[in-house]
Amino acid sequence: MSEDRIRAAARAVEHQKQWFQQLRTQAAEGAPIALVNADVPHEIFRALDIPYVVNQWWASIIAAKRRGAESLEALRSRGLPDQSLQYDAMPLGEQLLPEDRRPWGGLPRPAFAVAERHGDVTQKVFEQWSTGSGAAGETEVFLLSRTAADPVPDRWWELVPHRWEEAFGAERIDLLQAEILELTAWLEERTGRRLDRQRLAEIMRLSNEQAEWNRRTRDLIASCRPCPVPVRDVIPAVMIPQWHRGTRWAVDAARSLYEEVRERVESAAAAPGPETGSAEERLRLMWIGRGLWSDLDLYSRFQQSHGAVFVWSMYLAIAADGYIRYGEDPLRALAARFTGITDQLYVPPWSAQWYAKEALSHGVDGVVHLVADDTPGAAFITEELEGSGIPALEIRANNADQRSSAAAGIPERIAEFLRSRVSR
Amino acid sequence: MTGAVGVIGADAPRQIILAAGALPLRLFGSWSPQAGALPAGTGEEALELLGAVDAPAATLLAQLLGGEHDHLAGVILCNDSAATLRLFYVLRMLSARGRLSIPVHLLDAPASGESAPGTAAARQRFVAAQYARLVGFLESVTGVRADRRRLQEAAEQEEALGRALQQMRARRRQGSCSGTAAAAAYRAAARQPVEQALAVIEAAGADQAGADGTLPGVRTYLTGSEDPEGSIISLLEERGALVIGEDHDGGDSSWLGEAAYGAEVEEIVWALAGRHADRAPRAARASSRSRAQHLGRELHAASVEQVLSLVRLYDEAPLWDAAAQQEQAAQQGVAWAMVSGIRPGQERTAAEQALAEARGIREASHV
Repeated sequence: MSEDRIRAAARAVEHQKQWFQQLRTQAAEGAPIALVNADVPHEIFRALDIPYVVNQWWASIIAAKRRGAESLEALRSRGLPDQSLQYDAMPLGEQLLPEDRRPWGGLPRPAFAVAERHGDVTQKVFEQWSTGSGAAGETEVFLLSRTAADPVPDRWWELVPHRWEEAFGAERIDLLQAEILELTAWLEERTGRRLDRQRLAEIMRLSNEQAEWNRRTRDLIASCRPCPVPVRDVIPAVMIPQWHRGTRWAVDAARSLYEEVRERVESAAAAPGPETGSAEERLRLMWIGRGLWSDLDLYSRFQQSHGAVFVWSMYLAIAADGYIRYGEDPLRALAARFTGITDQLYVPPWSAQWYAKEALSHGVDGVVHLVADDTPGAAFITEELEGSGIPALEIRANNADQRSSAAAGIPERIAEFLRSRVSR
Repeated sequence: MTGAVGVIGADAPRQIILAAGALPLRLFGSWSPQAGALPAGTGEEALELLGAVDAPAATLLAQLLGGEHDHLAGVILCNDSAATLRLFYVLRMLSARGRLSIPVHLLDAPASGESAPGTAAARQRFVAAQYARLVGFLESVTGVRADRRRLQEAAEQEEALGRALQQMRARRRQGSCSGTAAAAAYRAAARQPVEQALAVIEAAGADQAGADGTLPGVRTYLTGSEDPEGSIISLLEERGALVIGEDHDGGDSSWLGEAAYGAEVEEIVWALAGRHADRAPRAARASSRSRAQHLGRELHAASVEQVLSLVRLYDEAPLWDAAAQQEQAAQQGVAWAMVSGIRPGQERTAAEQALAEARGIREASHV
């Protein structure tokens, strides 16, 4: 695998930095901005021209800049828990940091904060954005329902592009569709803007096109030996455009990533040699779980010592399989996109079936699974993988909270896993 | 009655279960499994399958794996907490593999959307559809059709239960019924046939009061994690507290005694779905603001001297409520003490610690 950073990643990161500063300027000039969780329909904000920041992306920046622990400690100083759903809560704490400690100058106070009622706590974390006792105050909050994953027909990834009614059940989609309409009216009332359904349809078309490029990239990487691009580069190259979903820029970024990967594959085929990594990739690994933002070097750390290369993370794969929804009615297709997007990743048997499918298609030799407290069914994923002949290591830790990931001894456990279970 | 149906969680409308010819039997789990009470290996397997989860859910899974509830016609699990939903996902997997001999059914009834009142009708439609599915599940396991006549009979039974519980709550607030007796009454209401439960509820507090009509003890309100067996309430009262109320869904915030009437089954189901939206705010599904407001009303109604919050490890919702609740208690001049991160087996020590902290605060405020 080439050590050079891929251009698509560098471009995406640069774009995001510029975009964030532009957003800060917009907010300073009085424009309402929104903070949204990853699993809510961003497309509505896009269609209404409301700039939005994705909570988990911002948490990843806070963690990567090593401001996670102090953000969480700031919450504790306000009587709020610092060991609960840290990934969602960290941006709340970031608001409390001294100006010179805030990453990228800090997130401007959002006018709107929108989340789905995931688990027992997400709604309470977001509620804090609107309360005087919390960190931010003066932010209005809208919460969407989160229904349970029932039914769960087999092989969801084959159903969701067109047969999403079958995948999620009409009743679940009906409820979210009604709530998206209510969210739209709520935003319209506060901004004086009106949703243009034609524009929403175009946003859905672009986001599906983006997903199709991600599919091609995922399939190409799955079929290549050695892996043509490092996971730590693929993550920003996919996820930054994901948070700009529904724009031409995002489609072009997804296409550029594919073209760059294909270019690397073709170059390697034309001139195979040590620099392309064939001698270095003795073991192919899969990383299940959220990204370890405070230590992204981890993904390449075992290449020198063990010839072990992480070739898979969920970010490209879910971008390939998880978002695509075709349909005549853009609002209903949008509801279908978000009715069960997290279920696809975390609810058994869906999660286990999908990870096993991906592990087999990528030809991995071992799986490292970072299990967060709020994700169910890890044991079934391990069982499915092991049943397919793929050794799996479960590590229980919080991805964004450096205190938790450090305590888990992740590098040491991976090294031992490679030595004892994966080495050829 | 054709048998009992287990209920895990607090969202199941008992009227529907009774009308389908089954006894609704609430399964609570416990703070910590009693050593030797579970078949060998089931506790470890439950923890492995569930991961980081509130202890009662792990206890329930261990019991189900050990066959402790195999006499039930089925088990209904409510999506009223992350722990119960996770338990359902695991049980569904185990059921598909033939590891369970009893059928399981998910009841997914989203709580009222405090920030989105415009979606109340859509949510009621979803909940009503869930109840209709529940009717189908129950009829499949009991063989009894929940028709309009049976729903009306069940409503009358359930309302009788509700009236008795209302009177008991009033006695409890006055201080003439202990928290221990109230917990036993709620447990009877949630697990016994209505006639038997009524006897327990009506007896609660009947012969405990002193000459002035009240029981001794520091008037205490309990919040935080559910007290699934009532064991902590008993312990607190053994140590000098009088638990005059709590906000637990197995106690004062339970969904017992609610019923609806109508000309058609669908009409009754629709009305019950509407009632679901008006329930007391529960930690795992309500906003911290509504939880604090609820606490304020309870403190005002019952002349409370101290609030205790005992929170288990992995039961995270009460932690987020604590700041607002503590502020509410302070505004009303009531001492507040919380102990969190309680692991199985530590609950008694934690309760004593909370009592000591609250005592210190009360004594300091009297100086």
